[in-house]
Amino acid sequence: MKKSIIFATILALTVSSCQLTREDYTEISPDNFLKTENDLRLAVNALMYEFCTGYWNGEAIYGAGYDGYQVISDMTTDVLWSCWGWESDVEYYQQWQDNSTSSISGYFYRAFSHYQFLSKARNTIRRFEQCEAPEEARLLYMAEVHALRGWMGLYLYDMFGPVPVATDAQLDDALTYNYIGRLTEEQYDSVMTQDLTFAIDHLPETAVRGRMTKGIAMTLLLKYRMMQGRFKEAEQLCRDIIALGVYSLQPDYTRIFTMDNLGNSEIILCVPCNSSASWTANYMTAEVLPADMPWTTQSLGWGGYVMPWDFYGTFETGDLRLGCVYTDYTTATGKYMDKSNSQQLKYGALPLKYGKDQTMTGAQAGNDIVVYRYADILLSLAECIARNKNTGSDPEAEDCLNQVRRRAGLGSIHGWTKKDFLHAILVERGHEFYMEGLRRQDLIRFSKYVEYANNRIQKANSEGGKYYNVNDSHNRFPIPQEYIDESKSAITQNPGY
Amino acid sequence: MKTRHYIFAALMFLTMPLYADVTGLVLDETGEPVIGASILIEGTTTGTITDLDGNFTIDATDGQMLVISYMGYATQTVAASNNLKVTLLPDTKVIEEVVVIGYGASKKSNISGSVEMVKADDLPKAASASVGEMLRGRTSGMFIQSNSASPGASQSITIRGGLSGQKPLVVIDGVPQLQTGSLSSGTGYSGSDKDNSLINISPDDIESINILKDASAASIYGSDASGGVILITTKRGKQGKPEVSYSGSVAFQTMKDKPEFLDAKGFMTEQNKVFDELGRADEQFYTQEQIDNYVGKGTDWMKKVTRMGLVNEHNLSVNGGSENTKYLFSVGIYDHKGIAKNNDMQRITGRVNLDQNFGKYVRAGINTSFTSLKYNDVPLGDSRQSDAALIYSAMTFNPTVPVYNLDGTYADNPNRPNIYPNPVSLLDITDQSYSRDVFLTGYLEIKPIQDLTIRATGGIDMKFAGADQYIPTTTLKGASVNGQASKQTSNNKLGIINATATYAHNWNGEHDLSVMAGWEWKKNMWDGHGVVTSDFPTDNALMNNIGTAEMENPNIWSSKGSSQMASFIGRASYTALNRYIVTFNIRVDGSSNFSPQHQWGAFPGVSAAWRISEEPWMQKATWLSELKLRGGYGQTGNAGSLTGIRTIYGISRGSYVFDGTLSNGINLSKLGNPDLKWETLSDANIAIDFGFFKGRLTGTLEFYQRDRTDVIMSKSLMSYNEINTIDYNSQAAYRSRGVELTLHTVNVDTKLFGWTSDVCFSYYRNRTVSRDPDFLPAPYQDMVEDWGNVYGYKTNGLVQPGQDYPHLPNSKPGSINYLDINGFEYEADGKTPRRDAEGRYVLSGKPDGKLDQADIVKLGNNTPIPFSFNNTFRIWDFDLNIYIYGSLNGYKLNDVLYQSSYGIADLVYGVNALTQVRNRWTYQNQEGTLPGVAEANSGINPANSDFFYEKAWFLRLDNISLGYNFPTRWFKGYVKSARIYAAVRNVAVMTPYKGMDPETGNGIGAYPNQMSAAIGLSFKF
Repeated sequence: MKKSIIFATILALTVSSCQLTREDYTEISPDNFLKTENDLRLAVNALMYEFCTGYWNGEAIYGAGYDGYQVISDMTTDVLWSCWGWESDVEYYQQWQDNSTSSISGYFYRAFSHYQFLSKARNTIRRFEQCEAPEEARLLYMAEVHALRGWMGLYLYDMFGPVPVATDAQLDDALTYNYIGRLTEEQYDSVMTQDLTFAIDHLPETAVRGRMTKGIAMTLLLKYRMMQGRFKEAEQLCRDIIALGVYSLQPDYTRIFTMDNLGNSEIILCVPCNSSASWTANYMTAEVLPADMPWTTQSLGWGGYVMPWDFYGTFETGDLRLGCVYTDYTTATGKYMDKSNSQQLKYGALPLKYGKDQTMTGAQAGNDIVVYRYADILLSLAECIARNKNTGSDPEAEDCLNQVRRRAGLGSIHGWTKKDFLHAILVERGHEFYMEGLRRQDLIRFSKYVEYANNRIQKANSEGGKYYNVNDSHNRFPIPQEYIDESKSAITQNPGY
Repeated sequence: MKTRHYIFAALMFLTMPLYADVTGLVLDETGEPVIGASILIEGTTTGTITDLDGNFTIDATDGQMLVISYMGYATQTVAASNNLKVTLLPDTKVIEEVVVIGYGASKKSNISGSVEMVKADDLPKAASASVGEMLRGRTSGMFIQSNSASPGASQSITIRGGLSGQKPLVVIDGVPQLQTGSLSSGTGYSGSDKDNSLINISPDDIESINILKDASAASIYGSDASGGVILITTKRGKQGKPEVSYSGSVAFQTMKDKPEFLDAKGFMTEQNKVFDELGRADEQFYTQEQIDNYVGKGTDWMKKVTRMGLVNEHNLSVNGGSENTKYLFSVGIYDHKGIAKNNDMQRITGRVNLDQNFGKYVRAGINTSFTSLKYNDVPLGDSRQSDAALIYSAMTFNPTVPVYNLDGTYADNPNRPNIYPNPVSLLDITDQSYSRDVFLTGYLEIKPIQDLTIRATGGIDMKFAGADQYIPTTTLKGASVNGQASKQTSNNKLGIINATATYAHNWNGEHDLSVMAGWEWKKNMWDGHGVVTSDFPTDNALMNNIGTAEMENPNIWSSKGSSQMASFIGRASYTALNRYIVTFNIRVDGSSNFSPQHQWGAFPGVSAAWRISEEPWMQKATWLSELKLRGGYGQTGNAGSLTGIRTIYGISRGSYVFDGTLSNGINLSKLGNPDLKWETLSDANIAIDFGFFKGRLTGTLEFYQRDRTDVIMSKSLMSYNEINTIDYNSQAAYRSRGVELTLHTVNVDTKLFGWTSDVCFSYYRNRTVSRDPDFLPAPYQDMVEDWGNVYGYKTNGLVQPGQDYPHLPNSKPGSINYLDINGFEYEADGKTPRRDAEGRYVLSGKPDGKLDQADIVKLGNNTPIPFSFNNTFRIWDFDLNIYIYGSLNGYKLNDVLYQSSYGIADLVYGVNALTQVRNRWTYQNQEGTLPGVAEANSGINPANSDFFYEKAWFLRLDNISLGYNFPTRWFKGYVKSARIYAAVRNVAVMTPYKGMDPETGNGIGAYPNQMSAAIGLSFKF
């Protein structure tokens, strides 16, 4: 028995003298990471998560919900609506008034939260700068991160204008609360230009779908310049992108988006999808597809989004781009549905732009989300030339526009005034890019975003609606109050809210 | 009576054979014969027991000493002589309860901390799987709330307000139980959250339960004890012949308090009206003629998915032993068929407790128990549309639809096809989970010298849990993914070893000293894996041939980890003159949750008591049987569940798609804080134990204050940072203050009739008393804030036609009239809201035409005020128990009404609503008090206002049981005791709350509450 006492004592002393440790095999220590080229690739992959299509989480910006980048950019305009009422009406009639009580303020909150990405990307770049991986790989992946930072920077600028960007010193001292305000236009421009220039300089011209390329970085910068109204630089960028010789128009409009033509030469930037995972599936079809409309064997439609009839009516007859827009259908049980008996069709036609994916399971389809494509470059070039040369009849500009029109089965345009030509471009862009999320900035650039909204409001109010008119403040979304409060008002609200 | 017995006894003596050397009679203090008392000739093994009339005969010679003993009575030793008459007196030492206090035990009178004791025998057993359910309301200061009414559902147990946010530590026979999370069964649907702590022990195995409430008592468990400690002592073998006990019961359960939804006709009528109200009358599905001619009430979906519940329970145990070996075996089965179809729970428990003496100095024992739990779950929850679960969809599914189409397939909702699952189809889902708990402990006790006991305990608690699910293609969800299966397992293991040395000595009965020192080491290990996949060729194999799934990227995972803790413990307890008591506890804990320099924390506790009633100058006060003043101060720690001392990266699965293929990524997932250290709870406790009139009225009144500091929290960093949170020790401080009262009265105590009552009452408030310097309160929030506050907008009925409020631009008539009662003050520029020194917005006190945060006020507080009232009656051989418990405070959203009313427009999709929605505002019914269809477009969520909140105090008549104790003489000594009883559980609830249930009913999809009627039988032989 004495032995056992001694034993217990010895045991007590040994155990207590050694360190207590906790193990978790799912954790990766910084000591073992960022050593190889593969590590760099993995770090970049993780950053890209925020560009996924995840329908339900605010972490991904290319979702198909009302807060998805493309959806909010189209649904606050004339090209997209939903028969579900509620928040879709708030978007369609632009009925957000301020930053805290609106029923869609949550969307703004989630959108703004992505300004954190700029810090994530910046820290990743700094870690890449210091890591042991080979120089060539570091440059390539740093360029990718710069491009991603530019992409997210563009999204934030599109939604809110300049956002706060933390300095390296502030990022290193995470525990201190720094109350930082928004950058000025100039400061933000410098961040964007630096990021995208680095990316343009170091990215390859082609890569597998999903990885960043030179053309993508150039297009992102082009979109930014267009928003800034810097059309000279934009024009040059268009020419540079065309000069890459990588991109061309597809002969058949409807096949730009289909499963059998993924990664075609027209697409510059896409969010590649995979229907097997909920956060990487394309939900654009499900959002539109009526539940009782026969589609593919496993498909499930939610039956909500529509192209409003007013907008549908602006298409010229014979426009091939309506090939994927349905105005009626017959249910599996043989019932004919059109705007007289379908709640959804009453609101508008069905823009099933992505076509049938035979592997679609439930709401999840596998078509890549098309973000930017060559037709946009052509139309942008046409617009820039018209603006820069101050003419509506520049042959090069006309040719750019007519390439797009011809593909849609429409006749060419020649010798128009600048005003008419620019308007034709705006109309063309609407018909070309519906459901692709370009409409909001297009209308803002032409100062029509609020005007068109007020037209819709006026029409609805004449039919008994009770919507209030909106003003130019709506060209930017309100900064969520939570972020203003968190910064102790260092972040200033956009004017008008 | 007495005389009759004497005559009978006398007759017996006359008929005694003459060769019997010694005869005698054993009586109790009331003069009743004692049956089965044992008589042993001292120093021999010769013995006998008394018969039905208390008589015994034993072959003894005059002068031999007879040892006469009976349980609960003091053993007497008398010289053998004929016609011996022995009157046994109750053993005061037995009544003087021994209280388990952690790493030892103490006489109840010597306790100075706050320890509460519950005897398992006092608890109603019918239709309760878990002792947690049985303990509800039984002690003051412990609040137990069922999270769901489903079989085996989890409970939240909070001791003294749960300030620490930790669950109480459950210690079974000196070994802490592993605390594990519930394994959710799948990804598609989930069943209810399971009880995974107290459910693992069969209530029938429990001898007693002690609850360490304050830190002066609980600090002996140091950092594990911040949520309080529940010490469970299981039954052990007793010396004597094998004793077999059986108890069993069967209970029937029926649904209770089901909310009333519209029947088919009502549904069609209201749907048409809602179409009208939405201005979409042209889309109506039904003509008035169709409605008028509709026959019957339509499908009662709740009826289709529920049934009568049935609980079957059987427990069998055998105990006995010799002087040196004592044993107890027990087996139990508990089988619960829930009131939702396909919802079952089955538990099988087994236990072996063995004690063996090895000579004079050494004793050892083993406690082992095995628990197997099996569940068949149904999908539960409040999800809507395609994810709607069983109860939710049964409540809301279109009542005009039959269960099946003519071809035998499940019928769909024609108003909006392919979205809402047919409730009955959800019963096709297979959802099986199991948990197996092996609890193995052993001890070795050595007494090398008198007064010194050295005890070593080793134990292991292993839990193996698994969950299988299959969603077949006959369900909407299954069809959309071509069948989905999931299989998961999780293993948890807790190993513990401890050794204590206790020295206890009593000097002349005046000075009683007990000193204990010890050491403990624990290791917690976990691992698990799982897979969720879909796209199966057939439904036949369910989840049992998972490799046949054709899904491209099945979700597969595994994990493994471990943590360690080491402790030193010490206690000294000194009692002088039986009335001055002082106890000192200390525990030094080291946890692997912290960096080496912060791993160790010391948690002391000190308490003192003064038994005033034992003072010589109080002896004259005969009306006073007990008066004890206690006070204590102590600290417990909390290592927290946050373990962020290291900066780490994590893999994000399939973070992006490249060329159509999902690829993983690695990102920074946690920012480490090596300075993380223990959080501390400090308790001060003052109490009075009292007893009057020879124990006719006894009770305890306790006051406490508990402070929680260095709280381990996740600090939100500024949102621009790469990682937005870090685990840290907050400068916020929390405080709980409360009072607890326990009363026990013996109202009537006569031979034929007895009535005792117990009352428990607690009142506490948890409060945040100080904040982090960075904390920015909301405009309505105080820097010192009560927990449980509910904030929201005030409302005043509904907006009526002609009323136009600038702060409600989207509210048309029939929407809720939220009140604009306040506004922000602005700086001179008139635009920037002004802030005070704390950074909070300054309010103007005047309406400003805007509904915003300035208008939010405190609406109520939902901190419970637990109360219980227990009455036990004894009438001849019958016993009757009536038990009421509840909470005297509550403030809760009437979730069913809120969802039904706010979602009224969903009627046009065929989503059914409560009959109450008939009382909504419409232009035709402007008297209606519930909001009309316009509310949905107001842009304000009514859950953020007082509109659907209701007072939710409640008193539940939880148990009425009537038992009959068979007089044992009926069984001629073969049976020691036998009892039959009938009980009704959850008889009635008194509450102003009009939602489903003030306790368990959250949401439309909540598992329906039930009333149980049980009959049971128990006997010992």
